[in-house]
Amino acid sequence: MTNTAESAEPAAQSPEDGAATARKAGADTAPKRRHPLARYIIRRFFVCVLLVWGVGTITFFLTNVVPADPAAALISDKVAKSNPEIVAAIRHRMGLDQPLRVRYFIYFRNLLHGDLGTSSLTTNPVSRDLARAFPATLELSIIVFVLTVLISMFLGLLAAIHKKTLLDKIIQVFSLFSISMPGFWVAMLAFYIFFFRLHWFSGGGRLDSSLVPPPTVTGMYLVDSLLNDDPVAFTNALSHIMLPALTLTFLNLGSLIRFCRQSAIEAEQSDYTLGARAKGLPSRTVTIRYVFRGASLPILNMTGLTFGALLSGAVLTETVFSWHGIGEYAYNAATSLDLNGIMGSGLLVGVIYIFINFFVDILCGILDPRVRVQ
Amino acid sequence: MVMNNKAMNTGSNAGPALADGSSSVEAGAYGLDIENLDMTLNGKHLLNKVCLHVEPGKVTGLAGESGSGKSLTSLSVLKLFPDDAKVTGRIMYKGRNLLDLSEHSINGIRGREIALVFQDPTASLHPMISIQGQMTDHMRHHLGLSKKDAIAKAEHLLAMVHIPDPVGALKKYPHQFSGGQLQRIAIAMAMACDPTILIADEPTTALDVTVQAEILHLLRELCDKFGLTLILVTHDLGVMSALADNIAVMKAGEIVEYGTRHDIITDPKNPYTKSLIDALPMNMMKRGA
Amino acid sequence: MSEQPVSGLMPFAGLRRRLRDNGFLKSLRTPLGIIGVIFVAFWILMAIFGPLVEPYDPLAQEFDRLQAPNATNWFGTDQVGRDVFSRVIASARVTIPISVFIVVVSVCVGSFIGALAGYLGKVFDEIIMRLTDIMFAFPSIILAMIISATLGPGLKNAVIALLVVSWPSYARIVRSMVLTLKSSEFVIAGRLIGRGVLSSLIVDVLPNVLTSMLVLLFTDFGGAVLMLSNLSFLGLGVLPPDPDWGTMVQNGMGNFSAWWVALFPGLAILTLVISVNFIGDALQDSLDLQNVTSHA
Repeated sequence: MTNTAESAEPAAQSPEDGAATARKAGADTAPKRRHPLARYIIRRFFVCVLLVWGVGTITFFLTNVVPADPAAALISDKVAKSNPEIVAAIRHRMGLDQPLRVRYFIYFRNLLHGDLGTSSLTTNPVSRDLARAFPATLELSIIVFVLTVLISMFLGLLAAIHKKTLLDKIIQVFSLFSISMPGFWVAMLAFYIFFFRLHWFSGGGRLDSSLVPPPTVTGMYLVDSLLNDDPVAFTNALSHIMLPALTLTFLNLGSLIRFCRQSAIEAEQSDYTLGARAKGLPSRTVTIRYVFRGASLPILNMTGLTFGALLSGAVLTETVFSWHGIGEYAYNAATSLDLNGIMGSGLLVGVIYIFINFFVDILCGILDPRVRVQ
Repeated sequence: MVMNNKAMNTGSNAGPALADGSSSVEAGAYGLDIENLDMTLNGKHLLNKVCLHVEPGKVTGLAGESGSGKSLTSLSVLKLFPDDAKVTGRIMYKGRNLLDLSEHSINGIRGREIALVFQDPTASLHPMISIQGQMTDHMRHHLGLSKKDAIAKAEHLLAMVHIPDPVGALKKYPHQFSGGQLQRIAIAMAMACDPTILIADEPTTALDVTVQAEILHLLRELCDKFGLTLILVTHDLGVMSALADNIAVMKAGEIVEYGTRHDIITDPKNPYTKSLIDALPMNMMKRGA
Repeated sequence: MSEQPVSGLMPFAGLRRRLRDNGFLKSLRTPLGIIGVIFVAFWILMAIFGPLVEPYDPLAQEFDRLQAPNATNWFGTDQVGRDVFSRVIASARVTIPISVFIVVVSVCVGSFIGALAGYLGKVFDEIIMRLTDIMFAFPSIILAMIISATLGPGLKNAVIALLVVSWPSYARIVRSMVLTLKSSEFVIAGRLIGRGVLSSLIVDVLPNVLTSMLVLLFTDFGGAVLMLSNLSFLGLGVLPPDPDWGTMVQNGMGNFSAWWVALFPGLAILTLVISVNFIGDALQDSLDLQNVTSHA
């Protein structure tokens, strides 16, 4: 009995604390004139800028401070040892003979000009390489993102409603499989079964090599081929994108399903749901109006974070499917020790992730009356 | 500790003043009979043969420390216990056993005939739904009111619980109110469908000391005005002595003592009750003096 | 409130009671929990006694190339005639201890930093939290790729990369736990009787955080196995010719008609990771159950 009393007391306190801090956070820095939502967005934007600066600083740190000699890292050890003058020349060209402070300043000035250096692998400016690879990843990510969010919300909420039933268990095990499978292996398995054996979809690449890519407007083949009124290219591009998209979706489903389920269950066990049930509302109304709405904010927040996982998975999936996007570019750069290339991709992906979460934050602010109205 | 003493002080000071207005039993009042209520959850025996007679039109207090099962008992009346709880016994209301009712039938009673007020209004109200939304949804469901009528009634209810600017308040969200105001709103919400029985589960515990007395006043006012049957659940005997006509004391899932307020406070039979009464600040002071 | 029992002052007793009463071991008696325990036990045995089980030398190129699974080579042979079965078993010896190491070290480092941030608050807290924000902005694989690419490929650098990537999430979790517990009464009581920051962290806060952390350890071990094999697959982790599940799958990628080269190491990863997750889930369920009971 003491056990019950002891653990009930702090447990009962914590939601109040949470509510209290949430209220405080909203009320603390009370705005005098500006609309609370505008204030919130501005604050989030500054955080965003801060994060971008931080991401840039980390990449600078990793490129310029961590390697013993970035110049030597560019050429093989043997050459470096026998030809110190080459190393010195490279150091001078890279500006490595300048003090660290100056290099940091130059680094950021270059970043602001979109100059990410030259790739030692492709010998192109990294920014141009990335610009070429970006639409491919964007195209894939959008499809995967939409599929993942829709399916996982459906399955997660379904599992939560039918908590502790067989259906819930099946969905749970499915999501555990999705979490526990190595991404590269799933990609290969999908490739082997659906392309190599069954020939359902096209294999690697974004388009059959016999086809000419549609003229570049957005760089996304699905969109461009439609704009160019080219059904052959469109169906072919669609058939090519299916396997990587489905693989990536499968890999991302698990964690989001679990999160949706958990959020819905937490909302269902909350006091406001008990309150709604005590009012005698039909259970369907309680679920849709109270539980789902209560779970909506954490889920929305999580979808933004999922984007990071999605881009991570893209590295492996794109590599297996020879999908010429940022992920494959980062892989090629990393394996050939092209520092500028890998830094550029990391930076780009980091910045995309930060801004996606910025927009998610704004959406949350619009949805959440605690932020919207004062 | 200091907080707690203060709380009890206020409660007991306010006591006589509040209790003086004698509660008259109205003709239409209904009571409740809990018979041998027994509950087991995950192998833990939480309620043990609880029997409680709730007199119509009176305030029945359910006292006891946290974990004693008093909240569970009150939630059981509306069948709001966890799905996997094993429950036996009967809760008789208007000649029917509430525990036997289907989910659909009990939903017709919840909020309509028996309404609940919770401990912490900041948690029991949905943070993302406007006051209007939360005040009118069950009204429209139970009473079949149009949106316009429901809003009109909600304004009336808010005025009844002394919320300033009821029209403006309906447009607001829970986080824009103080705890005391929110609890008033929650009480108005509970009163929306003219229930016969109101269950208040620690209605003042989460509130500031100064606000506690106001909420108790409000509850007393509503009881007298509408002949409500009130079940007041609290660990605070100070609050209890201010409001309750009859008091049941619970310990470890059992009712250890039941009687009128006067009998319980002045002449407790059970040693546990005695220790609770002795712990009341005014009694401690008496002994010290 | 006055009802807070005295036992709250002795949190270690609480932990021990939790582990015993609510039967962490008992909670594994679900079908999935049992499957999990069996497979995890199998892989741990393989990691310890692998050399006794392996029929052949995992590095020796002593068979015909790309033999399909048969009586001699249960999982077939790879491009250079090595026995896939022996290599799959041998990989466990590398992957499992390294993953345990990664989880344990990053939990220790992350928890320490997070607990300190939560307990000290103010500027230190702000700096640490912004730093974790920045780390989270990089998708974990890409950050790990960047780090191991800067340091150079190899197992040691992959481990460093994974440590750098994984500590922030522990720091976050422990910080928020500490913040909740910091205001709870027995910790305040501890401070009042004169415990310093660090000792009250260790004596009062840590034991209460421990149960939830235990569940987390299981799930994150699976995550570490996956990340390590990801890096190996990308050529930045375990380097050939050493056996590793990730590099073995990479080997099989070029040659789809020899499906066994990639299939079996992948299955090894899957069985290990999913059974760890099964166990983690079963433990989590028992923890939830315990919360439900105590709420009532």
